[in-house]
Amino acid sequence: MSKNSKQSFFAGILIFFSVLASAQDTFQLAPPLLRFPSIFFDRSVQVEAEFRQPESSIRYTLNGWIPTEESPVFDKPVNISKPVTKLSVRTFAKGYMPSEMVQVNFYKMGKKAKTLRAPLPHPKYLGTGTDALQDGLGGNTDHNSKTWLGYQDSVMIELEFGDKTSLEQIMINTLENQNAWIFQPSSISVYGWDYLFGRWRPIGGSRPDSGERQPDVRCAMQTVTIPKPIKTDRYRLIIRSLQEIPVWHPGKGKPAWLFIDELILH
Amino acid sequence: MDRRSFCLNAALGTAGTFLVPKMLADHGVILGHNQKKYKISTRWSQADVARNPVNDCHEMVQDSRGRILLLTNETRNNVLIYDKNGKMLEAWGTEYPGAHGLTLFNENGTDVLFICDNQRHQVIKTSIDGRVLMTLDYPKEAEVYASKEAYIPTETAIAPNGDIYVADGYGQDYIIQYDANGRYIRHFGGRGEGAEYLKNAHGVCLDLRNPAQPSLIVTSREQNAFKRYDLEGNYLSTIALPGAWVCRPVIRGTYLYAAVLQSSSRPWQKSGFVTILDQSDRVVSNLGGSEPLYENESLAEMYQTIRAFQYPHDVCIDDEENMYVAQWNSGKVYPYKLEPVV
Repeated sequence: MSKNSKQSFFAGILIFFSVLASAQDTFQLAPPLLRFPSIFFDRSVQVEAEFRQPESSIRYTLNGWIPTEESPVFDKPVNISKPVTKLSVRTFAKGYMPSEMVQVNFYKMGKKAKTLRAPLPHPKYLGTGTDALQDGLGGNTDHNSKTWLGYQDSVMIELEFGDKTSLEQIMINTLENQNAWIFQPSSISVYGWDYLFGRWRPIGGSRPDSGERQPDVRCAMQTVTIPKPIKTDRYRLIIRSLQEIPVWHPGKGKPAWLFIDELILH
Repeated sequence: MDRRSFCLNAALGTAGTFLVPKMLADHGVILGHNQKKYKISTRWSQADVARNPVNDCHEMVQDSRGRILLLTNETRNNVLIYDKNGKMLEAWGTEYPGAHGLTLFNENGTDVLFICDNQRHQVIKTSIDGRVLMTLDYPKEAEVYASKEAYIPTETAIAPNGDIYVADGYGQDYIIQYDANGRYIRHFGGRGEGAEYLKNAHGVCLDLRNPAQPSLIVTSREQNAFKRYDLEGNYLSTIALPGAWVCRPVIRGTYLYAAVLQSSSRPWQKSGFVTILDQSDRVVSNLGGSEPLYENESLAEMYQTIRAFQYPHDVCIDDEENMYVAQWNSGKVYPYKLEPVV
């Protein structure tokens, strides 16, 4: 056999196997199971990952980048202590497409209000009561979890600190699971009690993209930055639920669910 | 390139075309663990989508002639009948908008079917070719149903003596027992706090593997468990299946097979797989799922690892040990076939 024909013989083999490969079912891996007590922590939090699939690996990053096969292997618990950390994980195995990426944000806890008043959630999603909003627990994406409070209407929360406190940033953790009719809030307004004029003064707000299609089930942290903090001991938050589900959704025109599990006050 | 190598290439190309089907069978993706591993084919069904469409593919059974029957809630053809190679043989049924449960019973040598229709709130007994033989309305006699709408049957199981057990899996989670003529005998299960109660009693089957002690296995899907009762409805035990939204149990030989609609860790994200338990109720294999792990005799949480299935809803094991998987809400896919790897 000449050198040329040898080459083309191997080329033939190559074509042959690539035909084979394309005719097969190629499956994607599922993401790994992550375990952690909460996405909120005082000093640090330990995260474990598990994926009982032979000859596979879990890879992760802590900087928001998409994990690749070159990223560190998640083979022992990862400790997180920075104020805001984005953990990204994916699974890899020979013969399968890598999994989708799963990202979890971890947050260091802020100041706690002395008293917190919030309306009772829907009877089906009472969670552990309105104290859950300041218990440092939450961040899983299962809406049946006891950490979540579920509402079918807008929610007004009043906070009292006991002494004058200047809030610069308020974070509200919400759930997004559009298949389960759970959407981000349509808007958030923050008010501080103005003792001089004896009225609630609007001091900040945000308008999330609540009606935008989001196939993933995820936590959506709503961050409201207060441009000009004031000194007061009383604050009011109005978190408006999405009143009409958008037209692309099977529940179009009906009110969406609003799920909240934690407030972080800085 | 000289002429000779061109010919060689051409020959290889042709050989490749002819060899693919044979080689495919040898190189497909292998799913499962231990003694229960399978090769999967997602292209088993040869049904023409224009002539025989499907919606949700809910359940499958094999009849005594070896044919594979599929129940779908597509009212253009609620029942599709295939041979084992995936060739469509016939189809019937246009009156079952909520076609959900399909059970086959050999009644004195004749195959009959029991269809649970969760929109009609009825169980319908038919001949193998679709002739209606009996219709069971909602069980007023049980005195637990205010209206027919409160009763949403999902599955039946037929005892050797012909008694019919209906699982009200999307209604009140009772199991209702009738005699062969459809006369109400009793009901049990239902919702409540305590091991004997059920939540989402989606499936039911007779377990005759131990001839001395026949029993019923009932799905409690939202509790990620099967529950065992005697044939009079007395609760016996629970088989915990952490993480797994199990559908109906299907027994063939000494094994119990079940589609797992989804993983609790990733609800409503197409995270299903198939689980297989041996006769001592231990999980031995998960197809597309995590390797079974027992720590101090308790089963570790199970979850999807390979996205081979979306929302598998039922399995059927044929007389040659091949598996067929029907899926709910999975883009109207036809069933997949899996062949055991020995």
